[in-house]
Amino acid sequence: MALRKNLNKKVKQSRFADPKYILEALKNFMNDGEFHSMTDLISAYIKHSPKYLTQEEFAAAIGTNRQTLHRMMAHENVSLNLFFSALEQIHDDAQ
Amino acid sequence: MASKDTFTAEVPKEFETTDEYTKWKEAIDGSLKDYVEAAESKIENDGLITNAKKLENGLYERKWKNGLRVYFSVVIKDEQKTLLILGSGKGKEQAKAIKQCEKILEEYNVYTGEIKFNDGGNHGTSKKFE
Repeated sequence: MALRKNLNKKVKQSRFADPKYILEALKNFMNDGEFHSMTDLISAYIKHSPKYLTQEEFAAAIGTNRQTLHRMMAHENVSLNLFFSALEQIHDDAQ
Repeated sequence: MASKDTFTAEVPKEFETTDEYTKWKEAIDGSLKDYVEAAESKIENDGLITNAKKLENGLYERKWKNGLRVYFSVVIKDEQKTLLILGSGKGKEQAKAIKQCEKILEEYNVYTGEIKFNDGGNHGTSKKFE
């Protein structure tokens, strides 16, 4: 069985690097009822955005730390305000 | 609403994919590609797969409401835990895809430990993936 290994590289050219694309995709996910996949898009944005070289940088931008951001991505109990802050940050980045 | 049998899986950030999965992903249309590639990004970035469901024989699936499924497993390879993304399915394709994935898995030493995420707080009952 041939397997292909992922390269796990930050691809700056990815559509996920564009905050406007992320906002549009979030809208599509909501319209499709795929609310649980919204954090996948936030994670994709953090991974690909040239603005944030590390998760810590995005976490700091929304006023938290990497561990709490990780818990949000895992859908563990974190403040809703953190989720809203992440969305607001992407919206601000799109301006 | 997420079903009660789904959970967040904590998995290795590096993963390997089968040729079948790679070809399938290249062929799917734009909107579905966003779902799959965003989920892959979360694996690479956070080592997490949300909306996961345990199947049988070490096989798991990532579920979407639109019927899309991606099948994965954690195996021991070169003494390391490795995430394998084995296949995919939608609608009627699912039973066939699961059979194919189970057949592939027969060649591997499947990791049988717990992969549910737990941040160590008091609101979870599962063990952290080690």
